[in-house]
Amino acid sequence: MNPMQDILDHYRDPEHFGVCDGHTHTCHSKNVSCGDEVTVYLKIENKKVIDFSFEGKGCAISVAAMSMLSDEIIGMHVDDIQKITPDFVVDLLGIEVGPVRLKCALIGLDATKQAISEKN
Amino acid sequence: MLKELFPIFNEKSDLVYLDTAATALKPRVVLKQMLDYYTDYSSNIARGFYPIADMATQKVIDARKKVAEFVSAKPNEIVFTSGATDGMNKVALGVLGKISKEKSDLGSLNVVVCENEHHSSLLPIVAQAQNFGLKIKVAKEFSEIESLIDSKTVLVYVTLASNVLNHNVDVASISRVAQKHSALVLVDACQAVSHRDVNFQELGCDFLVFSGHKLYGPTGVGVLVVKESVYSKLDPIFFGGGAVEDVSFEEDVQITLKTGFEALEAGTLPIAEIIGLAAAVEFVSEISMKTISLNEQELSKYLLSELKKLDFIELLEPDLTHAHVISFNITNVHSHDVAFMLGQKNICVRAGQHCAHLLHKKMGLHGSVRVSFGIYNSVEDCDRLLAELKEINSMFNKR
Repeated sequence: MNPMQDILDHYRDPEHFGVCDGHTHTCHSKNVSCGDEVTVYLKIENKKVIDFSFEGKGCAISVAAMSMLSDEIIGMHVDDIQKITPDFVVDLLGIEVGPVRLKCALIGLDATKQAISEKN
Repeated sequence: MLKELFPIFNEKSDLVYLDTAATALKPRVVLKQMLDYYTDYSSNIARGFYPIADMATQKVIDARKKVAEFVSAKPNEIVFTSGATDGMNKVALGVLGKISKEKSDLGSLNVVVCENEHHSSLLPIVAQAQNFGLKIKVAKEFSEIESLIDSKTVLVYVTLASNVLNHNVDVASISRVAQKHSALVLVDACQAVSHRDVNFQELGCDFLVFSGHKLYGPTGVGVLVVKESVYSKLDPIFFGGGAVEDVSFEEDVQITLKTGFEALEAGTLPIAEIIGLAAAVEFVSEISMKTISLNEQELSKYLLSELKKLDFIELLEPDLTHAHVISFNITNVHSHDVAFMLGQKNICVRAGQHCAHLLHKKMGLHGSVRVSFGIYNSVEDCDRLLAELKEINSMFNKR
């Protein structure tokens, strides 16, 4: 599929959007320069992510990146989540992302890492 | 036709550059002048006793004259800075710092700003007012500024042309009111200077700043115009070579600063950039501000009329007929997505909050897409933009 079409599909109908039941970790993050906001919810047991969701508003890149990442995160060990690189997110998106737009792409990942580190 | 004067279009013939309010493209003549300095007479100014140093020194003296003439000021009223933000900080800290040494009732004094302003200009004044404990009066609209000025006002900040919206700010009137109360007026002319004639004397203000890069000149250079009689109200905030008359360590440490612009230009100036800025001023003057303004008006009229035909376009200022900036959104599409998709087609616009967060917050917007014209733009550029906006709307809003 055309990567941009894939991004638009995720943007219109994101995976794991909302608040998951029984979440143990959460973090709200905001990009003041563009007004994008995301809140992530993680249910973590024995350092493993059992469930994950997010909600918020943002551009297609930020929402699609979070949507694509959500499937990857569920089942991961928290230490492995901390090791996720920006390149991994860019690869998921499948398009080139410049340094300015990278902030959009990473807002959800950064919030997820912060949610884990704040409570660990 | 002016595209051929800008080397960037040689390499990128399909480039549609509609972000001149962020920075203007550079004409060949500016680049050549800078390269000539580096290749033919690279040397420091006002120090060397050899021909190439004399040549560089003379170029900077000439540049000061050209820039002064360009804004109807005197050469000794021109202070070269690294950009408008540098100029703002020099004024904010220089004026308020001096007042703080002379007066004890700082809490009763105030500064006046408007929340529609660009961050870079608001923040230096607001931050220094906070630092020295002065009150900060914030006008909701430019029209409110005059009514906030009183006998306790020491500094008023006003922008000549916003980088998001199109306002006609009567700076001369604000200056008159401020003068009655012995308040100083600082004007940001960054956006205005590349679109219309700016006359420092007629504005009646005390300080005026602009950046070279928005005027088809290089980055790293700007101008702070200081009314001759006001230098005494401005303490230098940087010290170093070229700004000092004499230093003595014999008994007590004695530092005697130079006066006027020299006191505010410590250290080696950005010589190549100043020469480039002078070339840009000449370039713009030769084309004439009238021609630039007319071209811009025609293009903005055309684009606005076409944008108004599109039901998915939400203009921030729907009543405008012509403008130096056109800000809008596509319904239900994030401004970053619009700019990104346009960028994929080599169409350059700005998206986001354009360093005017307070303004966007007030308008209830996450951001906006901004189109701004330069002397290289044409109706074809507008048509390319319009066609792509239709595509983006189809992509995002039609399943």
